[in-house]
Amino acid sequence: MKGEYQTSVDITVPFHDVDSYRVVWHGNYARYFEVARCQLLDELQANYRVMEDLGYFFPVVDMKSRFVRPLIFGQHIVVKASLISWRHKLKIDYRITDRETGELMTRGTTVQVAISPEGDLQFQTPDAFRTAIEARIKST
Amino acid sequence: MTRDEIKSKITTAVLELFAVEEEQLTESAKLYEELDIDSIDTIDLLLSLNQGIDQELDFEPEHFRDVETLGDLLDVIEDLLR
Repeated sequence: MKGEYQTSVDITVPFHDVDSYRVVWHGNYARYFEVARCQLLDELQANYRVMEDLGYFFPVVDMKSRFVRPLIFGQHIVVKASLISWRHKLKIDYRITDRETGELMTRGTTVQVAISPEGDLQFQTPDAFRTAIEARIKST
Repeated sequence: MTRDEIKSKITTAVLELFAVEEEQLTESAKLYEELDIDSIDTIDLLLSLNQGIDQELDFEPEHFRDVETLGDLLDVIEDLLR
């Protein structure tokens, strides 16, 4: 997975995430992506709190998932998040793999945009946000 | 750049990015209702347009508050290029 910056989190699939087919219900993958995304943004020093302090909200406006293999209760997984773009839209790619075998289980993408408190869509992310991310990338 | 040249760049960008037919791309075509191009799509459209005209236009939200049709978009780009 290509990206300017990557991070990963380990998750053990909890019982309450599986459905009556005994696999993780598809809606729960969004939460796994979000855990990895929050860690990525924390590491980039550009998390939701920072965005809000800058006066902007960054809602997810697009999300894609490809469920390559089903996840099951108790499975140890690695959710890798990779920063793809941030200047106009914040685009992050995800890969979920089995921690023991490394097998690819899921692929995904989210897109977030900056919205002002007045509700105006921004065509660029805020300068301070871009600067923070680029400084962090340069330092790694 | 003339209005026709700008229109041609916009047409190229729209056809590349969205599932629309060239004959739909009249100046009166409504971006959202008729072309199914929403506000999020416009970010991609404007990025593509910047590449097409080989300039980094500084798009601000207030430029697009009253944009409803392809012709309105053309007006904005024309103003920004002046």
